[in-house]
Amino acid sequence: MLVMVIGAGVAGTAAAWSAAQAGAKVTLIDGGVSASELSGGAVDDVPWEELERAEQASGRLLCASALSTAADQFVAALGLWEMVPAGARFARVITAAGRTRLTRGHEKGLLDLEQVPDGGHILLPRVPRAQWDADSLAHCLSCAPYARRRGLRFSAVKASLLRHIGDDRVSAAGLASFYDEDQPWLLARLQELKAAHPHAAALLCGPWLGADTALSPSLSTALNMPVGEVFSGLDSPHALRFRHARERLNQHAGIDMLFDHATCIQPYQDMQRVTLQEGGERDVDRVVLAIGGLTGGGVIYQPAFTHGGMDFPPSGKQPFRLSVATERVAFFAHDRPLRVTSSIHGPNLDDSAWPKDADPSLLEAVGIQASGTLEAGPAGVWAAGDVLADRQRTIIAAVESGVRAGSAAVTAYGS
Amino acid sequence: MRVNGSGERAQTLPERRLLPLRDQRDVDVVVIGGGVNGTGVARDAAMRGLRVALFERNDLAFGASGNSSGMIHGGARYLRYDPEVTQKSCQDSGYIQRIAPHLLFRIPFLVPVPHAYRKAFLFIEGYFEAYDQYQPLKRGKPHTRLSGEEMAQLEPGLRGDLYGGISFDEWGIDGVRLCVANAVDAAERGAQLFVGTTIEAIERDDSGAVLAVRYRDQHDGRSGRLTTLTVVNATGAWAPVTASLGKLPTGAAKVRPGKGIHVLFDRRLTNYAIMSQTIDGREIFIEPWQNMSIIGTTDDDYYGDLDNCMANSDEVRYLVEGMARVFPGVRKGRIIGTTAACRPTLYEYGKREDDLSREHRIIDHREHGADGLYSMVGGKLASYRLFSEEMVDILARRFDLARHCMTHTSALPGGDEPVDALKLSQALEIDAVAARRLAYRHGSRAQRVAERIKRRPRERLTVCICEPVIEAEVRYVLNHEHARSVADVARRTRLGLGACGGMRCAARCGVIVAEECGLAPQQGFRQALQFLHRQARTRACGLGADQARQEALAIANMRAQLGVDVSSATRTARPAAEFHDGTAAVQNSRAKVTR
Repeated sequence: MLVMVIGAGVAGTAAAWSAAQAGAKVTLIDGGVSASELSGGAVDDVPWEELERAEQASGRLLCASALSTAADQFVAALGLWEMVPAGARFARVITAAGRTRLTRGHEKGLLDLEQVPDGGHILLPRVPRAQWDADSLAHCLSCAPYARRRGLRFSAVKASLLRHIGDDRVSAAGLASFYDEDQPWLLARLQELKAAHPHAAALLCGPWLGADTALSPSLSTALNMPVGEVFSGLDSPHALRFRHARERLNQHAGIDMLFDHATCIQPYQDMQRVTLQEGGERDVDRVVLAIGGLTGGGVIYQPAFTHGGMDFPPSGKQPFRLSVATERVAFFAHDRPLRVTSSIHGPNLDDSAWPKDADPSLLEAVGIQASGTLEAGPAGVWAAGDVLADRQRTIIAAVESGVRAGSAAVTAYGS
Repeated sequence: MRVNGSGERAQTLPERRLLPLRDQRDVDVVVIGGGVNGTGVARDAAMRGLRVALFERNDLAFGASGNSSGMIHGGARYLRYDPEVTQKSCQDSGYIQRIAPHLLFRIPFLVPVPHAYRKAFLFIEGYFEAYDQYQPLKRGKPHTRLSGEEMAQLEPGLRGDLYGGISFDEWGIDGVRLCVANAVDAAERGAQLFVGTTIEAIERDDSGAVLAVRYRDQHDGRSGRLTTLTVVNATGAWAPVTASLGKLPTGAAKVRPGKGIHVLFDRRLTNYAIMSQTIDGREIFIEPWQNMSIIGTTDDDYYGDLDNCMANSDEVRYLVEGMARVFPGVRKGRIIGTTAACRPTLYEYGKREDDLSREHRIIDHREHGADGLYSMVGGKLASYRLFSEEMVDILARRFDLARHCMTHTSALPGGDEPVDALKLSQALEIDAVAARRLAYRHGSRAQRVAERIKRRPRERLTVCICEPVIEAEVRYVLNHEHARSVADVARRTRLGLGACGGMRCAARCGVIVAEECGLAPQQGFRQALQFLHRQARTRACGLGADQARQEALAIANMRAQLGVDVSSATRTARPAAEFHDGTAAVQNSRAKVTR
């Protein structure tokens, strides 16, 4: 059975892996940077703010719930994330903005404050880079309620972690790849740092520790104390580490990956004909759409007023479409189908574009509707990840929907 | 005694001499309103030796002054029915050039004339020929007549086959920087500034004359009372609201607030500013302005909340459709924000908004029994200095001061000497564009920002990449320009108002604000969150394809980094648990500001 997974973010990678485990021959199409690559390494199952609010409301520290078996296996196979075991307390990462937040799991490069003992002293090396102000960060973190509760102290310390001229200005990912090549040098500098501060409990750095794989675990072992990065979202080498991990996973599972864009899916005899921009037409048995939502580029918003003619724009049809032309997909948001827009100029997003209290915004919620087994409208097409309407926009939700869609695509209607 | 725009007195009443009472009051003049008129009056009055206190409830240039079209234009439109307005605007533009040359930049305009209007071409040209008579007052160039081919060459994006066109000349300016320059100058000459402080009452004595003002600081909640001899209500569209604080009869200070919005694009879409007409025949324009393009503007009677005036999708599309008729490329542009505020137009019942007079008027409330209280209504940005001069002339007669107005010859802070941006960039080792923008906003005062970098080299690092804004400038405006929050910093430096919408810089700015103002870091985050939410609301009404994707990314990023807990961020009375910090020391933030 031939399965094509379109979209190689977290959901697509999970779907491809799961379909391969079920015995299919899988081709994975990578169209560019995905939303999951921009996530920066914090792995949530539910939005973390909801967990924090629940903790405050109940007055107790909550515990992590279990993932499905398939998701657990995928996470282990990818080897990128450190997940908190089911029933254990959540991990705590530090954002580059200077606050702490809990998380269900984290990319192995990030520092988890739960691994630092109570009363521990955490060092932040001073490095003259634009987005890294060690003194300011140390001050913010020392004031954080979580730090106070556990008696953690943060201080900025002198360090010389930059080797070449221009290292202060190169991107975080660029610096991270220098350290990949210069690992012994970096380790030696960190050992000097530790020697100068023998009572330190942990080391917190910017997002520079390795571009191929996270260096933090090996550095932690070598220094005999937790070493990790801040969680910095967009400006981090997390995307590169994800790509490398994905490549290793695909090689191991026998999945072919192509860099291309799918433009169209059509039924052809009893198969699916997928048109690729470079690769022409491919006929496959099953397709999994993991093209992402609005952020990932799978859902495209085109209101009428941006492409009108001389006078009024031509029509008022609802303004969302998929980047891959597919028949019979229905767009939903907030559990309701999107109707024809009641203005020929386009919908009013004044109030719905941004989240209001607990409700996600229209831009986050919009996607296509799928059945319980994640089959999308047309036969032979499944969907996973952000392209699904009203899903939680978290990494674990993408993993879960990916593994389910991948195996459902293979096992539905008998293989 | 009412003085209208041309300086004539409507009635004559004996003037009072007040010298013996001056030392019995804290100040001579309380100016309410931190827009361009309020700060202009504060500056002029301080220059002439009066003791001044200025109160602004939101922030300097919060209203019309900071949300205008960004031009000190001559008002070519008013030439037909209100030529005095054109004359005064052009003349005062000339003075503003002299006192703040660093803030001005040229904006040449094109008026396309399609074939359908070819018979009117001579008339249109005649109109601009008449406007040419006023150009020398503001050192503007005369118009030119262009053929259809020349128009296509100058501006390839113009639609269709044009019969020809006209070019004319205007000056662009940053209204916020103008306001801040006036305010800083006033403070340096001894005026007390209370930014972020609202007036709760204007007390009057038994005879009805002004006695004192009671105020409350919005940031730290402290209140106080200041006795004064006169009060100038320079609150623009808020004028009737402020007048009511003095228990004046209704209708004492009437305005017709005219809401005007502008749509901002992330880059220069056109080479020149271009005029167009909307569906209802109103003249609108697109102008290249600093590092953006702006489409403006609307004019609608506003009955809503002035502190929360926002553009909506309806108005944005009205402008974009109107502009697309002449420059279709505007539809592909990425809208990064909108501005909205209300003009303090003079009140007249029965006229359409566009036909209302743009004259300015000073109301002496002695006729309402409140001696010492004056209201300034109407006016344009371009003639603010003249309006302020007229107001302070009245005060000067009242206080029997011998000094004449000098605001048209004394340079505003930063306007005394030109500064070489390239040398600055090399000396400080900062990006050349950052140096150029610093030089634009601060003029010669950029040297003071440079001195911060010499003392603390770390401050050369960029905080906002889009504008760009360096850390030294953020700290400088917090310490010397009366900024007290992330939104205030953004207003003065344009941090976070560019393409990224503050996504990459708001949190960092919040931390710096907290440091400089003696707040807990969590307070800084809360301000950053509030700023991001407010910016998002101004963007939401104009989302096109690219911007919607960017918006979704911004939301995801905020959720991950700061949390998007709107309810706790906007309810300042009850902060979310993570933000609440019981042991945070909240020092006297004003002490930092007047350092």
